[in-house]
Amino acid sequence: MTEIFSLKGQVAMVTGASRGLGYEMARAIAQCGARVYVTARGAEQLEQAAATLRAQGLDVRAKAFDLADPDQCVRAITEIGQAEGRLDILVNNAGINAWEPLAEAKSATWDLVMGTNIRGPYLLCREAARRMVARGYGRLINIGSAMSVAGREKITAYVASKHGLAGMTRALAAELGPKGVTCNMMAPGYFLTDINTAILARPGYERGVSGRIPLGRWGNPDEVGGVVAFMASKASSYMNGHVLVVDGGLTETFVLPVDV
Amino acid sequence: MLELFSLRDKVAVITGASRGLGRPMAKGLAAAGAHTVLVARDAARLHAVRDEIIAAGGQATVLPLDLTDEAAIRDGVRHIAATLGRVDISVNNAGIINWQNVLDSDLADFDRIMATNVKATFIMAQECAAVMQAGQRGGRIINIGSILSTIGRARLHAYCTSKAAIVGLTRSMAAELGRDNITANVIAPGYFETDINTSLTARPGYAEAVSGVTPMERWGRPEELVGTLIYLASAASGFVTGQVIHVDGGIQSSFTFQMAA
Repeated sequence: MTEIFSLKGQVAMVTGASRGLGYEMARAIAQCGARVYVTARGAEQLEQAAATLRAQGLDVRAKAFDLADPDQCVRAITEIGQAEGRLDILVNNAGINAWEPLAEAKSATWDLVMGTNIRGPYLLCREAARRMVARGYGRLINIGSAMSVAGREKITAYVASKHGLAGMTRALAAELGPKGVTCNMMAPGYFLTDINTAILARPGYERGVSGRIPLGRWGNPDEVGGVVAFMASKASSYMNGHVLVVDGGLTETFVLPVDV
Repeated sequence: MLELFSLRDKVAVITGASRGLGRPMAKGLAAAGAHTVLVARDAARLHAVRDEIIAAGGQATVLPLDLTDEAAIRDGVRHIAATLGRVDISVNNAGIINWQNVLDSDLADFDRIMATNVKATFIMAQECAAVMQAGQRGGRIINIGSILSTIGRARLHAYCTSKAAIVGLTRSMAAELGRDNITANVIAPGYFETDINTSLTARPGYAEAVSGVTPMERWGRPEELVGTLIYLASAASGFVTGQVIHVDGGIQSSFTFQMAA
């Protein structure tokens, strides 16, 4: 029965995969049997990540490009399409955050965040979907955030971009569903990734967050593997347009940090 | 990696297992390795499902009971805990539906639907959670909602109320039981081709009308719910709790219509 989660023979692309959650998603998809193209801007760190995964016996290839450059987005998908003749799974994970109180927020920051978090994924979905529709099968998986369904101070552009990505996910689900291509979002909450080292170092931050989470802890990065593998597989064949939040219960409950 | 989705050595209790979506879900849990406890009123039908599971190499136990009988539920779960040693997964699927105009409806109908859909779910989940907590191995509570857990539909006010209530119940259990590593989530199916939907699909034009507002342009096949269930029941969903997972071909998340003829 667990065979329905197999991705053997399939080709996947995971953006922002040189570290953190993207790396774990790529690893899980590869472990389920797919050939995975990992992408990121920095070629050196990306190649290192790919080599680490290959050393684990996984079929992983690196393709460095800049998500903020539309031409590079189109080219990346075109090249994979030409090399493989197929692209079954696209995971739009790469994203950036910018911390700016509203009064000091710059429109350049807004453009940068939107360009990376929405326009890049949009272009990749468009290019990937063309190929998926031609073959009548595909899985588009956009990575949102708890900030796809909730707001938080001083990260306005990020919250707007992640809400927007949820909207895009639903629109693509409506349009591509009849053509055998599903589009869903996986929205992670707080995870113990290296990118979060800075905020974890702030006194009281880690426990401040975990005190609001029913499971009482941050997520471990490898806990995004199972959910993305599920969404990438045939096991999710009638799930479409869904935003699946993986946050230990944070956004669906009201938990006070103290038991009063 | 596929092992992450295995339910081997787990005990799963599923209600409404004799027909509808419950039957393929029960068989799916067993196929993924769980010893599956089949709950419903109709013992003969349950035995048939058990025989199918065993013929396929799985493990199953029948637990015939009436879900409006609180003592029967509590005794049944305690009996399972005593004989099988554990309960890891509680799938609350049993539900009833009745069409009534809101202005003409009677309270007895409302009470009947709430009793089976909400109260029985609560009692079963509570009793299973007690076993999970005592076993200190965590657990999975999976309540089956509906697309009507989050949107309304005419002439189904009692059903809609009950399925929305299941969401509140689930989130509250998620908030309270998380520290024991017990997660609670809802699967919200859309329109599926099952034996209990034949009265719907018999209405002229109904099946086509539903497909017409579904992005995937078709009804779901029962086995398409099984993957989501196994995922949620497995170790792969460890950090997911309090969620409502829609498996509806995209109905709830989109606005799709066909041009009027």
